[in-house]
Amino acid sequence: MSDRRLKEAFDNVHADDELKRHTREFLARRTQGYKRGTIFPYRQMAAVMACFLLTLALAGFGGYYLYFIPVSSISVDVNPSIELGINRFDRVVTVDTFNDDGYDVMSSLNVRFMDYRDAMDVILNQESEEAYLAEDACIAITVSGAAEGKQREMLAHLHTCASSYGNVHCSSGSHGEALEAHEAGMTLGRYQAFMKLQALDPSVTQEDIEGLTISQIWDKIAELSGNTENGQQDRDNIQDDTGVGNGCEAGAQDGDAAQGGCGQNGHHGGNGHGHGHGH
Amino acid sequence: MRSEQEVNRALEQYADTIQRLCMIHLKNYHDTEDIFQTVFLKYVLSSVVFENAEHEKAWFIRVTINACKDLLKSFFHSHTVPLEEWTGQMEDQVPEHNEVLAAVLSLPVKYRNVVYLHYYEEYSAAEIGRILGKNVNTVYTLLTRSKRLLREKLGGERF
Repeated sequence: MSDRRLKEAFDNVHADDELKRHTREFLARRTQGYKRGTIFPYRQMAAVMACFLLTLALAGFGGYYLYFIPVSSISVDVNPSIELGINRFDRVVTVDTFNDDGYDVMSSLNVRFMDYRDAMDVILNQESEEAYLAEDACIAITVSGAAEGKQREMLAHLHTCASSYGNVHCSSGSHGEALEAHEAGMTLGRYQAFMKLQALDPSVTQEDIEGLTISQIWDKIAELSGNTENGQQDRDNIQDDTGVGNGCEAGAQDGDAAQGGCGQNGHHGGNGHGHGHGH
Repeated sequence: MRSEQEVNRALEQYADTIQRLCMIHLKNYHDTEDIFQTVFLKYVLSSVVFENAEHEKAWFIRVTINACKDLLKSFFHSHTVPLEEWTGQMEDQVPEHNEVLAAVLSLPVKYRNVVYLHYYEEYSAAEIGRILGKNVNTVYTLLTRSKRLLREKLGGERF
């Protein structure tokens, strides 16, 4: 047969014993001694699953952290005292009320996940309808937690939103100050006004201001500062004064620039009150 | 999972066949160990029920050829150098055998399988077609061409 030599040549090729032994050892190792139930690489699969779940958890937690954790807060005080937690995407993620009026206003509203500017408009509109925002009412807006540049930007936006509803007092504060305010059961805006009043009259206690609107507190501050005679005039000038951003920006930059009460902010020529605090 | 006894039996029965297939594909003795491990691990874990010994042998041939092809896909393995490594593994150093094997290994890879399966394992063209997943006419063509090539290399009267 013509292919005889080929057969003989291949016959001469054999797998040696060492190769077979190595193969046996490898198989015994991989099958853990041929034990039933070890076919599936559970350990590897468990590791893969653990990684997968960890990735999911991290992604989930990261997403949650990014979206649902507030990075700044806005307190709105008229008489209703409301505080909004704002996430890094400018959305409202938490809503807290600090008095009954605040609760009444928010009980009929849902501003969660709204842009904070829209939320502010909705809240002030509701307060206006519920007659909390009488003519010449003061709206104290306080931003805390955000970086200084962001605070100014937010205050400018908020001032624009709120200025059509009343006289706006913009201020900013630190996160620590906001925590102090919360411990005292107040929004940051109200707490700042209280601290200012207490600085002028140390006998004033928290109980003394409990029934007062923010407007009344600022009037008291103005009274104690001796600025009342200019109050009404300045209040009248608010709508056509130097522009939206001035009061807020002054507030963010220089907390002591504005000493007047709501509507009595003419001392520095700004629109609304500036009142800033360091971070 | 198959038992250790089954695996040992198959290892004794098909080790030489797998070794020869490795030789015509890999040209590199050291990769053989990888192929043995791959093929027999598949066998251990496989739930295929073989109808008979021929079926089982055809399975080993097909799995070995595929494993060799997978190994050769890497750049490194596709550029390895041949022959001498293998001759050291042979029982007898018969020059005539080396000449024949060298002639087979010098064929393009598509011919080597059919030459081995037809001339050594004595499979028919139809059986080779089934094992390699090729049309039977293609197998005939490959066999004819490989025969001509071997004749040219080894001398006219032998093939």
